[in-house]
Amino acid sequence: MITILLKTTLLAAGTLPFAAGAQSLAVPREPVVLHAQRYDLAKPYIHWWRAEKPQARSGWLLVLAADPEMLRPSQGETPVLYVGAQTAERINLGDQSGHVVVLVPGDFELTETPIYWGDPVLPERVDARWIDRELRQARDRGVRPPTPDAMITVLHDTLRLENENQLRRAAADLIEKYSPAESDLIRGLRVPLLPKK
Amino acid sequence: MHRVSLVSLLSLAFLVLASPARAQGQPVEVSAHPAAPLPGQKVRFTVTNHGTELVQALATCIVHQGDCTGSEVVALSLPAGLQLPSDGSYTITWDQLDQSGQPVPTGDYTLEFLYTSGTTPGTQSACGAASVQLPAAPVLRLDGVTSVQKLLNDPVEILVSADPSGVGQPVTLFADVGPGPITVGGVTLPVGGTPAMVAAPIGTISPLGTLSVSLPMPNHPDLAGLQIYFFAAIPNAAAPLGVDVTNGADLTLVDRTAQLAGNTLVPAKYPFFQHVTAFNAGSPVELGLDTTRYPQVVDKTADVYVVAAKTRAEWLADRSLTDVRGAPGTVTFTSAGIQGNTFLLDLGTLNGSTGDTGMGVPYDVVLDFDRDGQFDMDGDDLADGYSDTEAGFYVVHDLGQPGPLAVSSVEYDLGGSFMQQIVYYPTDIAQMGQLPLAVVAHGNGHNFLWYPHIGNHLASYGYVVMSHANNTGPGPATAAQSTFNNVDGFLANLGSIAGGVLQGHVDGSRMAWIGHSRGGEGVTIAYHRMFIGATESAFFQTSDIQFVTAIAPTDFTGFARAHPHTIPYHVWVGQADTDVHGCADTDLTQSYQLHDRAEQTRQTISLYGAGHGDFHAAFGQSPWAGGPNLIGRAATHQIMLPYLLSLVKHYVEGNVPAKDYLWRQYESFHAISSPVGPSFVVNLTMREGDAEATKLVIDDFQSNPESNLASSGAAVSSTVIALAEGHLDDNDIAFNWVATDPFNGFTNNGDGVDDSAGVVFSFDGAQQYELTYQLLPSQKRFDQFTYLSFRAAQGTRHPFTQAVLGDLSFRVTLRDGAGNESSVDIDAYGGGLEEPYQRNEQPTCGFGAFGWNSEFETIRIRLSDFIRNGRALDLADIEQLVFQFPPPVMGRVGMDDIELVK
Repeated sequence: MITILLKTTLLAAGTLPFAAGAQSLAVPREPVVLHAQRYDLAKPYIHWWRAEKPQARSGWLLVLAADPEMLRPSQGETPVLYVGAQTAERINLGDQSGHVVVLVPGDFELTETPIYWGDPVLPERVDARWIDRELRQARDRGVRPPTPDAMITVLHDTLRLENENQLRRAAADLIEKYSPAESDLIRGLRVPLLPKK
Repeated sequence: MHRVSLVSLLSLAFLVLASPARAQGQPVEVSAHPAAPLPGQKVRFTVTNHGTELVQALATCIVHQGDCTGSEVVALSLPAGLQLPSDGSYTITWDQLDQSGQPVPTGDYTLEFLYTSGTTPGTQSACGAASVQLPAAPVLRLDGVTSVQKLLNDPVEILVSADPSGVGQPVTLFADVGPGPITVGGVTLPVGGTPAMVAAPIGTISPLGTLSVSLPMPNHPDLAGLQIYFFAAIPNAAAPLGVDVTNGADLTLVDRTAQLAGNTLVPAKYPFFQHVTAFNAGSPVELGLDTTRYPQVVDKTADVYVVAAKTRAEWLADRSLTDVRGAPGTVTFTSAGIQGNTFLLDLGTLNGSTGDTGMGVPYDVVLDFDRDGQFDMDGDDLADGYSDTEAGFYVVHDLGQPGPLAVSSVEYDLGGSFMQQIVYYPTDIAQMGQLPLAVVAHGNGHNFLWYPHIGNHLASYGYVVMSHANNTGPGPATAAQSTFNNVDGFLANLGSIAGGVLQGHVDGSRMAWIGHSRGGEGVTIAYHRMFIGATESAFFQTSDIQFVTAIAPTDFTGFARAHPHTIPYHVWVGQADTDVHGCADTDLTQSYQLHDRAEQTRQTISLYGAGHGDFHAAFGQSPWAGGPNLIGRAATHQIMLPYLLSLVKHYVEGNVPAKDYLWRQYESFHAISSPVGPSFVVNLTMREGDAEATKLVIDDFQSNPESNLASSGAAVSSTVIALAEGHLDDNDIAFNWVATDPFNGFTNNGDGVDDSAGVVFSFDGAQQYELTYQLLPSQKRFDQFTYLSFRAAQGTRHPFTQAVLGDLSFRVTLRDGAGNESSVDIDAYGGGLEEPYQRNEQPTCGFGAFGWNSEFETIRIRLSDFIRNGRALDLADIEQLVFQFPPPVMGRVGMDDIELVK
């Protein structure tokens, strides 16, 4: 717990060595979990962040502390964030706060799943074969899953929601907490749901 | 003997050889057009001051027999105080009459122009010769050419020139409404032989070998548009059918219209005046009439009216004139060409506000020669705007200011994935009809709430603007699906959005799609999917999308998917963009590639100093800009919003004056509040679609890759340096100049099946270099089009470009079948080709120095400008189009899309 809080504080202050100019590092430091919460939806949704576009009904809503440079949005190809054998859908930018809220479909244990950066590519082009390669490379460079100890303090109760829309609104609450400067994004995620006629 | 019309036309080819060489080094030059005129044909001597000092003409000039030392034939008067500044010219017309008014015989004649100049003492002279010759076969000319448009009620001058055997013979003129040709007794006749054909004797060939008559034209407005085909026959017992037959010539009767409204060119340079369609409110409007094209008005006085525009039908129903300025002006026309017949119409007081969401208040200009307060379209009066399609001119208010409508907006979520939207709409929409829909799709890391500048601006002009959450993170293909889903969802839920106030007021059949960055590629992909039938909506179809514009789009998906097909397509580029940067090392960020795939109408607007983020309105976010003279978000919007309004007004509503903003160079014409200064450089390109045969392509470089053959089949010759034809694609990873990369800096062509091609070449300033198109017979009718159009760019970082680093101008010359030629410099209208934006920060786009882009802009020259002030050039018989690069100008240029447009 102390370790995680310390890292988070240093990240926010930009004092960790990878907080700036990380693109020059050959191997970027991997993200750290700040918040972890399972979700289960009554209605599935499409996970657009990989080529197969699978239907998803459950997964993890995570908040990660990450190198802001790796999170910097661009129109070109940027590094893809993976959680085990799945791509993570990044809900916010996080390039200013160093905190990114992600959705990761699938039923897996976080303590058995490495969280890592892959090569720059469009997520809509990433398929299972590509992910296998990235996962192997991550393990080869020593990326390890979060430890059970680390997870104890960040784990929250499962979110049982009706649909994706409710899930994204829950994500907005986390963005407000961990990256409050992204006010337009938060506002956009919270606009009123149109009543169905 | 050559007795058949086509052969007789070919016989004129020798005239090309008779063209005089330019007198190199002479400060004042006199050239004759045509150099070998027929007897009785008007000769136009053009005097040009190539020196640096002002030339002051004497009151008269002299026509000599033979050379300048020969006997005096006639003295011609010049306007009092005529001066020629450096590069100035003046045309003197001689009708081949001597001092006593008698026609001169065949032979050589020379005009001697007398002048004083600067500090040089005494009178100086310059001479230019013409050789009056009988033709080898009978020739027919209408107003000196073979094809002419003639105003109703104006006479046409018919000139028949015969070979010596024809002297004293009677001439019969045949006229028909069919073009022919037909063959009679083995003789080809250039008419249709319809039942309407008539023949009439018109006189006898004079001892000088000519017959000249003036033939009145009818004046009934119903005859406008009628085409009449002529030939003449001269008895010759030795000829088949017993007659010699001239060439054919045709005449088209047109309404009594003339281009009148425009502006004097500053600085003064041929063609001295530019007729235009749109004027900014507060700017002066001038009337310019080239009296060499309308000789009937010389020495006549007219009342000049500026009136609220009427359609042709409205004019026919109501001829009355009411001047919006309070009272008409009065002008008297002279023979002094356009400069002597330019008059101020308005200092800038004309109203430019339509009072509604329109753009441009339409006005007509009428010259009332009988001064009876009516437009006599069957008399001598002339009007600019006597038309069903276009007014004489339009005065346009500041397009950078909001429109007249109050705007409301509402944010909502349609449910599901990335279905949040904000819609901007006129507050009083419930009282309005159906309004067109603009859709905004943001880029990666952007937000749908970041486009209030677009939403508010367009909504204030009567648009419903929907900006949607865009799923750009996975990539542009996903974004495309996102745009499709949002448009579909929006149109499906009109009854619920904003309390249902939009229901019945959104015209989903008139949509403009606007995408930024990955969203720009996304809207292009979304259109492509609908175009190929891969996606269908219950609420809209492909034809409902009338215009797509992509702001700094990425190009991940390439030709196969990011394809605009036939939609009018437009691309914005910020030259200081550090995100979609356009560098040579990746095709993924070369926005121009999408533009060049567009098969029909396509346009670009690029802003020097603008970054990627400057196009949205999140002022706290990074502009993603690097380079000199960064203009920032506010200035970017001041430039962008008027252009965006013009684009949607033109492509969605067919607005006429909007088009002027989309092709006239920024430095000479832009919205009133758009910023001005050395930092504000905007390049425009516009290529017309080819619907309804509205253009003729001379060379688009998409076929016939040989450098001596245009895509149209016209022969090409050149004296330029290092000419290369090929793909408009920098072939290495840097913008550094190397000879092995002739298309350095061009990023219009991607990889694979992309095929956008053009030509590049250099000129070193040591001599005049030329690129010449020898036109096909089917391409000679320049008179059927309004503009010559092409796009051109300075080749980035070439030594010749770097040596100048300034606006580049060159010359465009047309040569007709009789050897006449006329030239216009492209900078005459206020701007040449801009120097590249010299980006000097990351990304470098190269090594050793920093990378710049080779950036096209479109040049358009009104074809009638080539015959300004009596320059003898038959626009119906153009044989050569020549791009000339005279010394000392050096540079490297890329060109493409050389075409004639209406």
